[in-house]
Amino acid sequence: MQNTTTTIHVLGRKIHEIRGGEGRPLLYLHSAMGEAIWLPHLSALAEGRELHAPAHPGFLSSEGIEQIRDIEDMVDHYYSYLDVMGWESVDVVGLSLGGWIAAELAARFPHRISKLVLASACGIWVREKPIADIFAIDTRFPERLRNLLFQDANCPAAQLMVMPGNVELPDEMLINIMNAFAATAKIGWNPLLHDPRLEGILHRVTAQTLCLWGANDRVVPLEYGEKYAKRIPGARLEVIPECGHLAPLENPVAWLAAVKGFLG
Amino acid sequence: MKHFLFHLMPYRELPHDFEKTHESAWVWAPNSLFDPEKAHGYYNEYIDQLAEAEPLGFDGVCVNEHHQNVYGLMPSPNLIASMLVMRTRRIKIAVVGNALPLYNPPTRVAEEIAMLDVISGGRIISGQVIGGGPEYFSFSINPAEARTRFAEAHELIMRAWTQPGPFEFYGEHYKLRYVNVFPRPLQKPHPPIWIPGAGSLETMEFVAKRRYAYMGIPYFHIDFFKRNYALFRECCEKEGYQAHPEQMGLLMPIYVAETDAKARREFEEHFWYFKNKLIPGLTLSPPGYTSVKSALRVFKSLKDGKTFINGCESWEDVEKGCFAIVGSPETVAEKIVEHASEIGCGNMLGLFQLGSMPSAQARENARRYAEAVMPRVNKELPNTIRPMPAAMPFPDERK
Repeated sequence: MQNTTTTIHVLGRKIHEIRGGEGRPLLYLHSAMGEAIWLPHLSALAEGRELHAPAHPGFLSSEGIEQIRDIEDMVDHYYSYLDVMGWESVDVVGLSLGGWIAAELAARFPHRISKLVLASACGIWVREKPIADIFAIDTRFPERLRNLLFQDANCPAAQLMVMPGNVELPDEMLINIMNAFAATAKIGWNPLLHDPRLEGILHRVTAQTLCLWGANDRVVPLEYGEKYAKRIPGARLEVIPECGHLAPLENPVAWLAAVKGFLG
Repeated sequence: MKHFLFHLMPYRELPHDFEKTHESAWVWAPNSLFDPEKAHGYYNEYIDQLAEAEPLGFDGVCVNEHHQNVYGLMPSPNLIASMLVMRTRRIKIAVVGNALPLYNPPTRVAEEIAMLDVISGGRIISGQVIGGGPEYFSFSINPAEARTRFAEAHELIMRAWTQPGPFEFYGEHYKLRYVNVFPRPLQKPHPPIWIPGAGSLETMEFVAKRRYAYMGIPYFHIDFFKRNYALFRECCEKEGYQAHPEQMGLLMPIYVAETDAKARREFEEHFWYFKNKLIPGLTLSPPGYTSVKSALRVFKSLKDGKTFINGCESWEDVEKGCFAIVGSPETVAEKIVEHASEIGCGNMLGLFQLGSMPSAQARENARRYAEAVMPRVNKELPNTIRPMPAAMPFPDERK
């Protein structure tokens, strides 16, 4: 699948975006990993659709994190992004952090989102099952990160995961990783990766919604999927058995089947 | 040379296997380890050690701020400083850290330092710090805002001390309608400002421009300090002046005994207690806490495993990197003169109690330093006559 990298201007910020495919537009909002890069699951999502994966401010070469004070500023950024793209309404797939942004967009501007996939999304809070503090992970122990992000730390995708502490990485990659963590901290340090106001406005969402979770998500546990599905009118929860937080990497077949089945 | 006695107030009697059963001395080291009966003794002994700096002939003492750790029992340096104000009459009291982003509103720092300065008759040095990485976990304050909060809080405090109030302060993080701190400091225009740094160029440029004093964050290899102070002096030159020695300070564990061999014998176990039990976790660097440029530089300089104290595995490593100055009075004086003259610093900040070192031993150490090292150093490195450059007032032409 062909893909192109492009720069678009949103509120005066240069935004990095990767695109591919033909058809109706589909917006992919990336996780804290900053995967606005042509990973296999993005390529698969672009079959029959025009897939757009912008990098959030502060990720890759996207500018403007200085002006993003909190999640509300991030949501306003994406509202303007939709205007720039000229989309009255669009389908959105959001993974983890990207799912949080997508849920906020759909709750605050319901008419702008048609179909919504919340995949392993943070953004709300379940007191009995706190979201894992990803900021406290000791980079000296990459296996801990793997155990957190994947059910099976030995699966092929998990073994590809690197941390600055354990291998020699080129500067550009190190910088991208540091920037990604810093930008995630900017909006998600405290309250930890959620917005206490979001749960109370989820009833406003009008988009058709799929909540898609790995059964053994150790970062944003399945209870979050259950709560999202309960609060969003008409939402459906689909659970991928024996799968962790990064479901599109750990079990791409099941994850893609669910997303594509839902989007139609 | 000005000599300061610096105290960290460590927790001394941790279980012998603490470092095997705990990954961090910071943030997550369980407070069930804290024994208040023991700490009653520690605090009183440590305050006595600090107060004794005056009769011994030190120029000042330093206290600092850290939270939720076994490394230092001083979450509130201002409380300890207030006790020292009443226990001393002559010496300077450097509060090296109030961690400004941890105070909201930061005018609290302006008030408390002003109180201390007024009560002490103008003996306070105001250290203003960003706070260590672990503090951002302990306070759940956003590390991505550390730098901007610090810059804004610093400006607010300096203006609160020097500009007639009430005035409005409208910042990104702090919006105060009526700034009017009462009391104001006794020293005019304000107490001396000390800013610590770990080598980031941004901090050096800031300190040089404002004519404050730059204090290197300790526990690095001596060559790392030498590079950093050379950079700092360059920054001052770019600002059109020559750095004053008292704009720079070197902070080191110091131990003095009759002979080199005896000094090492008495000191070494306490150094390893410090390095193995109290240091792990200190270098936590939460995301956004430093600029990516600085983070990359630090990451690379630590990579060789020999630049920071945590890489020390043998006494040879300690000596080679000068992670502590240990020996007979002659040896200690010689090393201080050698390094201080190369660095160009006019302040020597000594940790005379380190790790598990008992109080009687720490007091004897400080006494031997005062009697036998200070005169030797002062003879070689007399105080600089020319006055310190005047700090630049706010508001200025800052972009």
